[in-house]
Amino acid sequence: MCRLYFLKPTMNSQANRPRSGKHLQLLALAICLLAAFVAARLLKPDNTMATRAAHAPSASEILASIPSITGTSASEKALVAALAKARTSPARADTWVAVGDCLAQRQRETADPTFPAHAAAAYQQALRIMPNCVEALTGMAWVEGVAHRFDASIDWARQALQVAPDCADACGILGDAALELGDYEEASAHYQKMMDLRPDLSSWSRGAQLLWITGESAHAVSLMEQAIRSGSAYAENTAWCRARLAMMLFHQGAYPAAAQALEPSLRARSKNPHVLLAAARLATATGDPDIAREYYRMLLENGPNHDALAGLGDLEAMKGNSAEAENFYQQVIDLHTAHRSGGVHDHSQTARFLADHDRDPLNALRLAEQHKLSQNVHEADTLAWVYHKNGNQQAAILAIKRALAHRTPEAEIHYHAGMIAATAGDEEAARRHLSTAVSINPRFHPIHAPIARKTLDRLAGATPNTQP
Amino acid sequence: MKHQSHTGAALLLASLAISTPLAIASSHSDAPLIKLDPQANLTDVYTFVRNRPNGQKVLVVEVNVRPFSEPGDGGAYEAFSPDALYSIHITNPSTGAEAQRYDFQFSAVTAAGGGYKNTNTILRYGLGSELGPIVTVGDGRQNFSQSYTVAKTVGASRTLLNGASPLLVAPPNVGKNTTPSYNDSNGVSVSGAANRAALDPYTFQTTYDLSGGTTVFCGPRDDTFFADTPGIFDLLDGRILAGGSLGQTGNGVDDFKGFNVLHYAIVIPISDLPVSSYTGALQPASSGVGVYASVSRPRNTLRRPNGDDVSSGPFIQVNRLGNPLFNEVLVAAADKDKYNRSSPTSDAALFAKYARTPELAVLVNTVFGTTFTTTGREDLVGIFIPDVIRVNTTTGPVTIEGDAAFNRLSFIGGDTIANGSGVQIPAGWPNGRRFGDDVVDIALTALASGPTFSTITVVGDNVPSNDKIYNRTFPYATTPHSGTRHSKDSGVNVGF
Repeated sequence: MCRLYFLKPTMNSQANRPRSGKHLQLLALAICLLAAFVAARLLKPDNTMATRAAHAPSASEILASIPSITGTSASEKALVAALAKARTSPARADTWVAVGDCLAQRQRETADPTFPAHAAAAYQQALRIMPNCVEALTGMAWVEGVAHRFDASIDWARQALQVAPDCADACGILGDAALELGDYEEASAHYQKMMDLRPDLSSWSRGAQLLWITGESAHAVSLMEQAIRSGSAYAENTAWCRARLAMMLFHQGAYPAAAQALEPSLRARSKNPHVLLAAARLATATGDPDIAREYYRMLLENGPNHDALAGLGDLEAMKGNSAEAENFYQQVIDLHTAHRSGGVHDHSQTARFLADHDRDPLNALRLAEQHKLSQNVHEADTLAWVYHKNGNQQAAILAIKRALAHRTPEAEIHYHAGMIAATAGDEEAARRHLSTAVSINPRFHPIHAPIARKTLDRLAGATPNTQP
Repeated sequence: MKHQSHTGAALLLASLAISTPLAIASSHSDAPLIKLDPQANLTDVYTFVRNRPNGQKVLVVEVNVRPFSEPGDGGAYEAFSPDALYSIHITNPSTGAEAQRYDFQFSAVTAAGGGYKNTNTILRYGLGSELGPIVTVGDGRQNFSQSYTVAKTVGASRTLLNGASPLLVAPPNVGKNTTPSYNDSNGVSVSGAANRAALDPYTFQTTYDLSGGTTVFCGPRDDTFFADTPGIFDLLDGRILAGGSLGQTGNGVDDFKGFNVLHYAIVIPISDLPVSSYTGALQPASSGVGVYASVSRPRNTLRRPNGDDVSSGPFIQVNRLGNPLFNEVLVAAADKDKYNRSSPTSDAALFAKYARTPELAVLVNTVFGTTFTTTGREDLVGIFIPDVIRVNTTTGPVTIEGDAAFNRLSFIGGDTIANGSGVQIPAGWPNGRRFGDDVVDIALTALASGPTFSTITVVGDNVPSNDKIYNRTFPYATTPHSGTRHSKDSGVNVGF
């Protein structure tokens, strides 16, 4: 079990306070200047950056490739300002770090998978100017992590830590990689260090996610609330935490409390995709499909979105509108086809969608098996579900055991376990898992929760052994 | 793993625990004296409005007694105490005053008492007048049978509901060889019957429709309560004190899984119940009844060196139970035994203080640094005083576990139902109590969020459901665990 001791007795109120953007920039500059004096060969000769340097784009090429900014949100304004500064001071590493960070922030707010590549170009530019720039090294670690290239991500983060051993962001990214790879003990160590170095929204919300996955739901909720209370320079980061908190409460079936968690963000008309998705799922669960549809449509205003399209399809399927549902499902497939050609990593999400909707099981298997050995709870869960849909119950049982190992309190994992057990003939385990699924979150999914209930009824009706 | 930061909080909690045990079991360990008398120890009362298949609206009352019954109990197995009076009280919901009562009394358990077909064997089940598995309750393979009577008392009028013939208690689930009809082909008990006909044969045969429109059942059941009591008791355990936050965290273990209880239960037509108006917790302008259970024993028991005990004298109440958790977590040690001897009519005078200024909130605040409201908790008084479960009988049938609209958190999960005036009230506890209502999470969340509920702080023990599926028909309580294969055992006895 992961153990995080997140309330440090020595923590003072100063450390608790969110740092302003200005402070962060000064800090970035200071670290970069310091790093320039570190006389060590930190970059490997075969480093990707070095290889890419031969074909390095010019500053103006990088700036020209970034899509123009039209919005007026805080992060968009910050990005406009950063780009302006990069135009006037292109020889300074910190200006490129600022551009990269603003692009990363945009990705966090919009879930648009094209931002990391632009951010990478900016960070690489910073590294060409100042090879040991810690902020740029952690920026690259983040870019690689988003793309699920964890070896590269870990490599960049470790380089950052060699320059600045107390770099909280690098600890966070190492923790993120460990979390994605399902090494929760390792993630715990990195997140703990990050929380010790910098107790704030960013570190606490990471800790909360880890606690949730490892079954510590009450602590997870409490730590996420603490993260929200601590605040952030960007309202959107708080909104992300609110969405995560709402989903934790949704997973516990506490729908009114989940709605309370989202309410401040919704009242502020947040366009945060995580907030909108949580709101849509909550509305679906509480029997308001029209409101759910509204939130999904708001999500689609920023372009195609997997969750919105799949969710809209499910709402149509619920009503028996199979043609409309199919229309949305096809858009999901098209989106993933586009992603694949663009190099965006979404294997597990695609595999799960295919298995959930009984489509193309072999393709689902091919995608899910790319994470065949993963200890990640959700990847193992998806793999198990895909094996089940491909008729391989024994492999499904092995995978679902990995998914269940950390007792992540999510109904869908138990739903999958129950359906696998039912098919494999283990009726006792089937009843137990399906019953757990509908107990912890009775409306976990508009299509699957009713199937869970129907299967339970069928199993409950199993005739007792009346023959002596 | 870094434990040192916990030490301060852990030690503080440990020292508090010495003077005030934090026992969150529904009522398995509520007071010192009754703990010494398990056969009279009530653990849970469930009561809720349902419809019979013919549309008749009824109140279901099901009561668990005899905590931690081992499913595989060797020779004897648990039985109801033959000299105890097991009662279900229907009361005025505001005053707690009894309006009518149903009393269950059970036959002898000794060889001399006449319950055995064959006293020349060590087997209580599987060998009576013949050897083999029990097919029909009370047949030649069931050596020992316990029977009972049910009487309804209204004021001075007492009516025996079973008429001339005593009723049979369902047999224990010995295992797949002796009581196969409780179990599937693997010898694991089957539960979750959707209707009367789908009940296992033993339960079906011992579910009796009586004169006056009532239906009764008595027998062993799986313990239908679920909570992580050991984690709460073991105050240094990581799943309780993992970091200094509130509530129990992480991987709760159902202390009651794999254990059985004894169970007595009745279905009463709503038309046969009194109606009183009351104002309940989250129930403005309500109309219905109060429900609680009690066990009484004769004033005198004569132990004899050469024969069975002989009891005499009037019945003295030794245990009572209404709402879950009241005597366990709110009433202080000084008054716990007194509570069990008293009537709900004196609750306002004797015990209201424990609900109004809950020490539990003070303890949680002290240990975890929270700011739960510790005084003026009229919301808790509304739930617990008098300590009868208030059931609004003007609603339609409530949802039960397995229904799409059922939520274990009751109103906290948005699970409400319209009362007779169309106002939404909780579908589950504290409006009645259904099987599957997660009363630990509801109570802790109410403690944390009340009295205003302007911010709902969900607090729980990470044990969301029972280890077996409840029946969806009377008796709603789950089939008893098999003596040879049950969820308390690990390894080969359970799947993944």
